[in-house]
Amino acid sequence: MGFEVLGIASQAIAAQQLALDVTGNNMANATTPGYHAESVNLTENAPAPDAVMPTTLIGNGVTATAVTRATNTFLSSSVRNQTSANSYATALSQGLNQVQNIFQEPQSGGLAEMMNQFNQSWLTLSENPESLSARESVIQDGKTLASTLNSMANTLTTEEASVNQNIVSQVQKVNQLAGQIAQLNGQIATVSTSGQQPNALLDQRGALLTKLSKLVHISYTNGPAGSLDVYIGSHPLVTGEKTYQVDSKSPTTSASSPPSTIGGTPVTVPTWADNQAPVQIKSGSLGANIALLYQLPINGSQWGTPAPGYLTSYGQKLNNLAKTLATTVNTAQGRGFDLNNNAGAPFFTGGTSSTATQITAGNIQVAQGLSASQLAAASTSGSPGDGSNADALYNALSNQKMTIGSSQTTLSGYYQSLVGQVGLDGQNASNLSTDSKNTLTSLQNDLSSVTGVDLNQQSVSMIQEQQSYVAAAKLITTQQTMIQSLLSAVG
Amino acid sequence: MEITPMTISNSLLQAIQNQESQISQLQQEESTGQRFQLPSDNPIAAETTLGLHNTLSQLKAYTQSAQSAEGWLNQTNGSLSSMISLWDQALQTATQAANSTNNSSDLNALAETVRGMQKNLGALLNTQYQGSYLFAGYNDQTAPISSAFPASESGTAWPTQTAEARQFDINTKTQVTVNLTGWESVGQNPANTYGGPPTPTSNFLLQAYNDLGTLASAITKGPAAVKGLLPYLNQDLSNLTSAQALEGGRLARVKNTLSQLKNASSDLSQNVANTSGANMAQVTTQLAQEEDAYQAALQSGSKILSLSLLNYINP
Repeated sequence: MGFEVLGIASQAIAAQQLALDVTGNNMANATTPGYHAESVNLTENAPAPDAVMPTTLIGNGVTATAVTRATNTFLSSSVRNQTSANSYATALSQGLNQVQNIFQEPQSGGLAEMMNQFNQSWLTLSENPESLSARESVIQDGKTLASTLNSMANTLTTEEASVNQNIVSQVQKVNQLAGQIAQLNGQIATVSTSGQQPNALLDQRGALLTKLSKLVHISYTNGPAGSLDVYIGSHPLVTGEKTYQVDSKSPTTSASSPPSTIGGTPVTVPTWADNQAPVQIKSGSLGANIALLYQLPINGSQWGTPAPGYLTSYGQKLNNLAKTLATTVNTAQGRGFDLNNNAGAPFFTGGTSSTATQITAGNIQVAQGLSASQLAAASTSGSPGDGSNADALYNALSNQKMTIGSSQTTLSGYYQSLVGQVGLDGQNASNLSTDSKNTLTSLQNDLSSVTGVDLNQQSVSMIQEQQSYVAAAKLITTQQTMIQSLLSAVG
Repeated sequence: MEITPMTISNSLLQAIQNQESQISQLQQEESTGQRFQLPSDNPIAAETTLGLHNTLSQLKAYTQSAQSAEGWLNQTNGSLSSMISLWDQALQTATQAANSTNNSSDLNALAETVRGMQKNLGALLNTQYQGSYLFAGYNDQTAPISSAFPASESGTAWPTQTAEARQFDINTKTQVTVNLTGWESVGQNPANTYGGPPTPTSNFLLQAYNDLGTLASAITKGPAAVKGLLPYLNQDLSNLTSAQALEGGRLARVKNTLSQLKNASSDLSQNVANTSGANMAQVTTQLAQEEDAYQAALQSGSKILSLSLLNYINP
């Protein structure tokens, strides 16, 4: 009788203990984000010739050879791509949702109503050209209309400033995450070269990559010694332990500087710190924030012609509206005569300037000191009862098609299509957000099915490992009983 | 496929969030009675409703405009009626004066009556409406007939331009003239006017006023002078009657437009309600369905989430 059985039993106990530890760890991390289920590789030991029958090979028990981590590169990468897409849609939808309130129409006190009120006050004036109260009401309605435009423009500007702030802070986050990934690359290389499995570090790095994908679309390739190289577009962000910083300030020295304003709105354009080249940001929340402000085509290391983004285009359209409104009213004023038989003074000014090109939705106001008698209701001089100029202005403001921005439409038609545009953009972004969230959840479920922890399966493993452990322990007591009975028979 | 606790909780959460957003949207529709709150809820309906509101608001403005045009026209019409009845009396007086049976004191009395009538006509021509002189054209703060006689086109506040028509917009690209300046073409013929002083004019209102003055002096001259004036007086009456017909036509047009505007407003309001109003029956039913589904998701979720093989094994 040999003692091989004791060796087999002790190895089995050790292997099952290890397996139980891994199962326990899996169960403990069942809901840890980024955790990948681990499993013990149990390998049958090489058989050895039996002492009694040297020609027969007898099994030699079990050894735990390694603890491996469940992975699926394809699914992980799909989940990260979809994470970028979903973050993009969510951030875009959030940004656009915040401006929906500005264009909440039709509502009492909304721009559409104020425009109608202003137009109609000219109609009333045309019928009562000498009435000071009709004149005063034109001025008051003009002031209300101007301040409605001002407040819409201010809210948009505040929103644009906060999006700019988001871009700056998200670029900082990208740099931080890049630093952490580079650091983990170093630690993983150290552990790997010592022959250990850096599973926990790999999980941590995976979680950081997912965080980074939320900000910007990335691609990555495996480097030497378990390290990972991360790229944004074709420019590296992390190679091994080295990181490349992204600047969120517009460079001023480079000949190919990106624009610092788009349509008068200050914007932040991320650039690579090392070569001042543009960062090819396609997706992620950073991409969404950029899309809210501007579209900047990139050809290699050069910037193309900038185009306004969602918010800036709304701002520009409001400016076009304010400008056309001011020009129409001021021109009509100039054509007519006021109660003092003078040609009408400009009605709207932009801050201190009455030049049409400098009037924006943000600065439009009724000219300071404009008195009720200065409204040019009459087309001819010395005709206080003539309201035909006011009537012509009413028709121009409410029904006449004019060139506003690049469209040929009426003032109210232009605003209607702007509201429709804001609504459609918001609806599209919201639909995109829901759809991409559904796809992401489905992909996450697939990944979780492969790399996540199934508690039922772990429970089964736990029972199996417990039973194997009990069996191995029983083997020891059985062997001990056998030896004792042999010794007592001999003794 | 292995189903991990994360899979179950993720799917459950997503389903619940989708249902919650549906319920929130339906509840908003039910509580506000509006199909959309923000443009992004239903961009097409939001844009359409905005357009309808815009048109509706224009219609309201045109209705107000037409109502005030109606006021002007009624007032002008009333003045013209008074002028015509005054003219009937003037013609009677002229006919009486054309008789050769009157002695000089009778003629003086008749001439005085006619002067009184001229003053009355002057007062009628100076009728004010809402602080404006009805027949004064654009210079409506000065009385068209001053105390000086004879009144002439120049030197008084009388409208000198044929274009001094006060036009009110009563519908898109539809205007109605609400005032009479006397220059309207009502059949007057400058060649037909009485040739004596004051200067002949084709302004029929001024002509009528001046003709009464001429009549008064003709009466004192004798029946022959009055007889010669009669055709001109008849022409004046015909002018005034035509002018009243013109005003009547304008008034009828305004009234028709008002009724069209009313119908259009009512149709548009119906359209706005159809476009932006929530279909309550549908919303209530959908909300009830969503609530059931939401409860089912919550109940099944709470049962399943707490379950695993661990609940049943007892190692």
